[in-house]
Amino acid sequence: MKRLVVIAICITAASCALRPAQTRAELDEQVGKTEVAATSWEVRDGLAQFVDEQPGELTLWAQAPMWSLEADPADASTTTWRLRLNNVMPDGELDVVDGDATVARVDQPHPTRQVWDVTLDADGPARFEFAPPDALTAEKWRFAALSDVQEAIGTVGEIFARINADERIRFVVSSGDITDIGSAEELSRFQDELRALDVPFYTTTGNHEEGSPDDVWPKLFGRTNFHFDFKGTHFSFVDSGSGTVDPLVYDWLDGWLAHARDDVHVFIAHIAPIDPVGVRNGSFRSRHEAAKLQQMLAEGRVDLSLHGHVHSYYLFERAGVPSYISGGGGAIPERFDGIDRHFLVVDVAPSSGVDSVGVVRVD
Amino acid sequence: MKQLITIGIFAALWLAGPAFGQELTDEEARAASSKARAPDSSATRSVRDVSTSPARFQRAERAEDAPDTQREIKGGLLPGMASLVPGVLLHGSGTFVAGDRETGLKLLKWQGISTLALAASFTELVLTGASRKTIWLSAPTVLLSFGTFTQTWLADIYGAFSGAHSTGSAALALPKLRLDVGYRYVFDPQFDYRNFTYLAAEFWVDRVRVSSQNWLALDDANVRTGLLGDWRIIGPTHDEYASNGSTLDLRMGARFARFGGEGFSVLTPEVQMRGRLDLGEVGRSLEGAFADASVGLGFEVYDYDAAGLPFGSDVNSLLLGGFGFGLYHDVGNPGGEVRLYYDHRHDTYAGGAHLSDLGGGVPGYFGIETHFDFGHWGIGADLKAGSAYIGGLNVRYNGWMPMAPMPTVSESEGSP
Repeated sequence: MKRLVVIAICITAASCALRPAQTRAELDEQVGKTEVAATSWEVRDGLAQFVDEQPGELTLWAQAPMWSLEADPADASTTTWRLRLNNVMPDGELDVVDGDATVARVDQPHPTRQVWDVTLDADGPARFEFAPPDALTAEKWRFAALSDVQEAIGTVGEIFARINADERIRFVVSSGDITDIGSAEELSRFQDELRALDVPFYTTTGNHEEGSPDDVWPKLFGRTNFHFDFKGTHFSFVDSGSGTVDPLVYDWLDGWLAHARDDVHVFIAHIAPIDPVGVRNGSFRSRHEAAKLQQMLAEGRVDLSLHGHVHSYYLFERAGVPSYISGGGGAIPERFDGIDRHFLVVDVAPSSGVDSVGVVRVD
Repeated sequence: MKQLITIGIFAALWLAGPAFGQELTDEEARAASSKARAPDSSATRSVRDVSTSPARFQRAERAEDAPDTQREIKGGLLPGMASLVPGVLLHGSGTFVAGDRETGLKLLKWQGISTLALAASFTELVLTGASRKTIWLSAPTVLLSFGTFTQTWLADIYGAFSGAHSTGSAALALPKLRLDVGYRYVFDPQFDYRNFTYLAAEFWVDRVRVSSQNWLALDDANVRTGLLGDWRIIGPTHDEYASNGSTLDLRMGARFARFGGEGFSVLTPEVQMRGRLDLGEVGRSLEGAFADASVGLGFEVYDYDAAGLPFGSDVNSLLLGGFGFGLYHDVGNPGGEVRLYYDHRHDTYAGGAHLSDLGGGVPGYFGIETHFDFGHWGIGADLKAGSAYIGGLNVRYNGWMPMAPMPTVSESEGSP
């Protein structure tokens, strides 16, 4: 009896956890750092993760179209490395930007997978940058948004085929719920399914990814909260899968909002701060925290807010920020809403903002 | 400054309290209470006498009137264990084993009804993907049916352990004025505030209770206030006694919160139906307990400080509702109650609980509250857990106490 009482108390206490996303946020700070064969490697801002490490060979999973990599081979006997880069821009290239090192592309077995040989100078560190040639140019461009695949992982290839048909789409962003329970097996399988997609897929976590231990996601995908910019457009991915954003992440978001204040800025989080159907409350667990976040986004002049969680399509405005819920990846759909599987295409003009957001129906 | 205001209010109450009514001696109070007989269960009685002790419903006469053939109800460990196993699956098992079979079967019936309602509404939610077209019906149905399901089990546990021994009794009439002054500690890692002054007041005008609850942060630019009116359809007021503690209220009002540190304000008009069932009306073994539920709708009107956003730039609906289970107690004079509850609204300092996977963002918060009244004065305590932990104490002042009822002709020894 006492044991049952203790268990009941623990369950109740856990359900009232004040910082359920804390561990995931803290693990973000460790992403993109490793030391192998006396050589330390670090991806700036954790925009890529080392998913496999062997002496002389590293495999990275990218979470941004361009990112910076530093290598410090202090007293290293191994100076030649093979880098397998996954989920990268098809036209991206790895260049040496600092230090005495050389790089050479070996193979590109898939549009989003490249293999490079890197030779380091044993006497000093080197810095590399991976980016497509037009990463810093500011002409109009397009990206797609797709979330909430979950149990429909077996048919997500049909959606990818539709995305591939639009050559203007440079990459896909997702607010999460790409798996059903977030297990390592499901996440790995999703990465395999991404072989059917010709462009990279950058994503944060949803509530369905909460089901697994917090360290599963970082090992395969990297950070749950991250920020990058591409062609004059900033993207902030924030983990709201627990119906809240961790206080640590708000500190980061402050900096990202300040950094992107005068540029086009897209905010991506799985659970919207406030559900457009308020009675349903498929949103933050505290309306006060939701309003706090909306005020931050409004003050930071965010141009677009993208969410999932609700398996339908909604266009609404919160604190003056145009917001979309697009959960059309195939998970059990909302009924009577007139829409089934779909994804969004977003056209951005860096000089003026978000040009348009269109819906592409797959069914 | 805020601390001085709090101390000043408390001091004013302490000095002015005796002006709000007369107090009986303990002997007079007991004499007045013993004369309070239960009228017809559907009737309320006007208050007429000069005594001012709040009367509580004495159920001793029920035992006296009980049929000789009525089974003896004996609570204890064995019925209590039955309320857990198989009671967790068959609500009413405990009270049944305790000898109150009729009550046990009632609880089982209501468990069945609530289970069916919960299953149906939850299935609808899943099949429709929480459709915007049907959520208005399914969400409150899930809330209320889950509440009833929980309450039947808690009632069974109570009745099984207590048997025919009641923990206390309901107040049959209420003070005209009630003031609460206290302190609340709010731990929410999302916000800077921690310490609050809590001020609440309620006042009866005929069958309408006008109330206000106010939270004033002592360490942040934060305030929450509300003005509510409850039209008492059924149940005790200041001027009219009821035969039991059951109530039914229609609430209308509005709340306002200002988050100065975060840069927004929100005004929430709301309407609710709120009801409480004195479980002594359900069965003898449940005397001393009560169950309550509420459902309603609010509309949050937001005002963001961000430049260029007018007041009311965002309006969001808010499902209001909850349920609770509690016990009356006779600690003090006239006593008080302790209540365990769930509140589904997400717009208080307590926010909502975390439920991983499917439930992200949906659950509200839990709480436990109690108060002890000692004539004009009392104390209360409140604990809440959701996306924040809240705890606090308050001092209560009851003014214009209700008067004891006149004895009826049949009760008096001679002509009126």
